[in-house]
Amino acid sequence: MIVNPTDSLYYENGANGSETDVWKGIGLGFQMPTTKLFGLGEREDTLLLKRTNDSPYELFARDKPHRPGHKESLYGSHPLV
Amino acid sequence: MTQAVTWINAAQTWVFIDDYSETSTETKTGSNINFVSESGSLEFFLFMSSAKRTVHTPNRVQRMSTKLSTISGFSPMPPIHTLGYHFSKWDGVSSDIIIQRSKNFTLNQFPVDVLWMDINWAQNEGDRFGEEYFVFNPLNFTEDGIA
Repeated sequence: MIVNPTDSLYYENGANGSETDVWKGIGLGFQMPTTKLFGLGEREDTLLLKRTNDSPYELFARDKPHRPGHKESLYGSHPLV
Repeated sequence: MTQAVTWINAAQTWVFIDDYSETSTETKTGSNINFVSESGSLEFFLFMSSAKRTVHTPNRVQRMSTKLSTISGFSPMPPIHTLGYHFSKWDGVSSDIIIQRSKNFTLNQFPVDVLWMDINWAQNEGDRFGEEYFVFNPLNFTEDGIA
């Protein structure tokens, strides 16, 4: 089992003691032989999953107003691609 | 071929999707899917199906759904009352208000199956702490009112 007991996803301490934003945590990558991906949710956007560039999809259920064409997660959270 | 990956982690999780290409022997293109969770343990399942659809068998997406359900559990049929008329209002609420609302529906001969209360049923601990779930607001829901 791999764990992250200090929840050190958001910050890590720099050399001068300052905190720097980093993407860190428990992670794994998967290669799919296709560019047509479906899943995740819930969001008000295309069914087809887009390239995320710097703003990833998020698995975290939120109670926020809908914003058309955004990746922001809404009520539901489905961890399947 | 249909493939799926399900990521089992209740912590806040980000999913990055990028192009994947490799030209070592032959050009391959596809997608890189990167899951990153802020905490918890590493757990995931991979599914795939290359079965051809026939008249008598489910298609590949249906097969994926069935395989996923072996992990997450098969959905039960909904209770029959959930298919009826629901009345839900985000408003101040007390046992008196909800009983009066029920009586008003009856009085006007309007069939209603479920009355929902929004968050105000709960004990409020003040702006800083918000609602305490599973504890009724004792001011609006007295022992007498509920009974």
